[in-house]
Amino acid sequence: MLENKISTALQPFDCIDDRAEEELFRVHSAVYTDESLFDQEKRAFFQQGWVYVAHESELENINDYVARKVMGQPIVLSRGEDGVIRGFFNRCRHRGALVCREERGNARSFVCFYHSWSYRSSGELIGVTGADGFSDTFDLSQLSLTPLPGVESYRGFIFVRLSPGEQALAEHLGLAARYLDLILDKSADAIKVLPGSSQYEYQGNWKLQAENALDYYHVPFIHKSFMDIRRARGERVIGLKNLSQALAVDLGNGHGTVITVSAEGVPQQHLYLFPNLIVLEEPAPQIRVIHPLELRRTRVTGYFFARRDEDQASLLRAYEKFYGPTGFGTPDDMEVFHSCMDGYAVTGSPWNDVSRGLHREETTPPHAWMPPLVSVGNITDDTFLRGFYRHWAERLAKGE
Amino acid sequence: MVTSSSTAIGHALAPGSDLTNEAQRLIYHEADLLDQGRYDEWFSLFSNTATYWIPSWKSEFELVEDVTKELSYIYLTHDMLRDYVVRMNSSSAFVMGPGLRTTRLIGNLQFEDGQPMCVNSRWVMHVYRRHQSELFSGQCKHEFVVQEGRLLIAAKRVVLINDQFEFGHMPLV
Repeated sequence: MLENKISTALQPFDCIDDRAEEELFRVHSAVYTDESLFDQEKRAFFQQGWVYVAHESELENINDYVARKVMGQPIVLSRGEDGVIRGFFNRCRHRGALVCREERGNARSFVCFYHSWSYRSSGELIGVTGADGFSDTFDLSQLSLTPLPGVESYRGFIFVRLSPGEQALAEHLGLAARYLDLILDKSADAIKVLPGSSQYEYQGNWKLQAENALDYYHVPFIHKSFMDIRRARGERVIGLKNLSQALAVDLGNGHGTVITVSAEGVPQQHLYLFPNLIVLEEPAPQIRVIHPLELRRTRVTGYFFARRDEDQASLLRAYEKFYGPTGFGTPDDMEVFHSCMDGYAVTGSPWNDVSRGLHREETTPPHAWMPPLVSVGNITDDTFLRGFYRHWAERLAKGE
Repeated sequence: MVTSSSTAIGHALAPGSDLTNEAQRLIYHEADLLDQGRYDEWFSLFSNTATYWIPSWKSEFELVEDVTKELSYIYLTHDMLRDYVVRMNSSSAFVMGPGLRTTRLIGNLQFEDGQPMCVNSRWVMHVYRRHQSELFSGQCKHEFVVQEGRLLIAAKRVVLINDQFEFGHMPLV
């Protein structure tokens, strides 16, 4: 029993109590509070696996770049003169300073501010100052910016890996790719991420954000003030009753989605791609990226994506009205995270119940338009969470 | 509760009053009302076509400029300001309580000549909650309008130097 293992290190499967045949599924709050589990997550998910970084529309022009961090490691994505997007560790091969000191821009070359070594936007070292100090055998071509072991794009979404690995991006995305297609196929043109991003931090574990983005059960309660505003304006209100046809889906590999249907009959998703990306369509389009900073500290960056023929100005306002630290929705989710992290300090009652909907879960899509999935339930059920934590435990137990 | 008949009230201007003094008084009064949670009165300081805007940083140097094409933290028109007040006055804005306290300090007021009357200022806001403090600061630009002898806020633009938001939230400045 987990409670008796006082001095031994926690194993991932110790934290999951998976007894679906008894309609029981529980998760131990150590997943949010144990440093050694967080170390394992950092290695397995963020340093060894595929992680979302940017959208191709953020690198529209030749020589555009963005400098970001993946699990604390600085990287640069840059579109070279040949139009190809490449990823590098943002680290001078000389003495380790950041080569790219601005978050975004356009540059034919990067010049390190320490000793002025310069690199082409495609990564090659093209010049060192004081070349007489290096012998004739010094080979510039051996000191290009170190490429990221993996940079792959799926329909404009750029993922990277910080360590070499066998798994192709398509294999990682698995069934979730078809659900991303549903979002992207709504427009004949590629989506475009617009300038400006809203970001915030919270003093809690990163998985709380992943869980919450696909949780509709809380919407009528936590976002009551937002629904009160809608009701006063005669707009559509979300309550438990009108979620009866909405769905929560486990897509395998830790991915999942929740699907509502708009007044016009169009499916709308919050699609989660393990471990750090959520693509949302309602109440407004958002690409949301989760950055774990510490066990109990997380940064979230939100971007707006536009589809052609949509009223961008209204959708921008709809985004700002709900999402982000000054929105009328997100801050109350933050309050939940802080409250839960407080609750997880309790050692005498550590288990979370994640069994909602086990009695009505199915394995085949209820609608013809839905691509294959692993499990599906009502949107208020914990279907996604169970898939998430099963994958979490499997990956950590394998150490990858 | 904000009623549908809430009208912009602003500050009454006595004949011959010094407009820059009155603008300064209004700015300090606005900060005071927000610190005290007197949201209906705060709302009444804005004209019926007022906007409240917190642009995002596009990069380390550039702020968002075109709200029709770029994402800000918030861009509220008058009716959305009213929505904010409804939310603040409800018991369901959970992030606001219990016990959230703020101090808004406004300084470095600089008055721009010409019409409309504008005041640039600097501000610091200390937010205290759950035994934790957070400090925000930046610049602010108020645009004023005089309607029927009353001074009103026609537009407010707030720039944050730090958009970290450690607790995922910031009350309106």
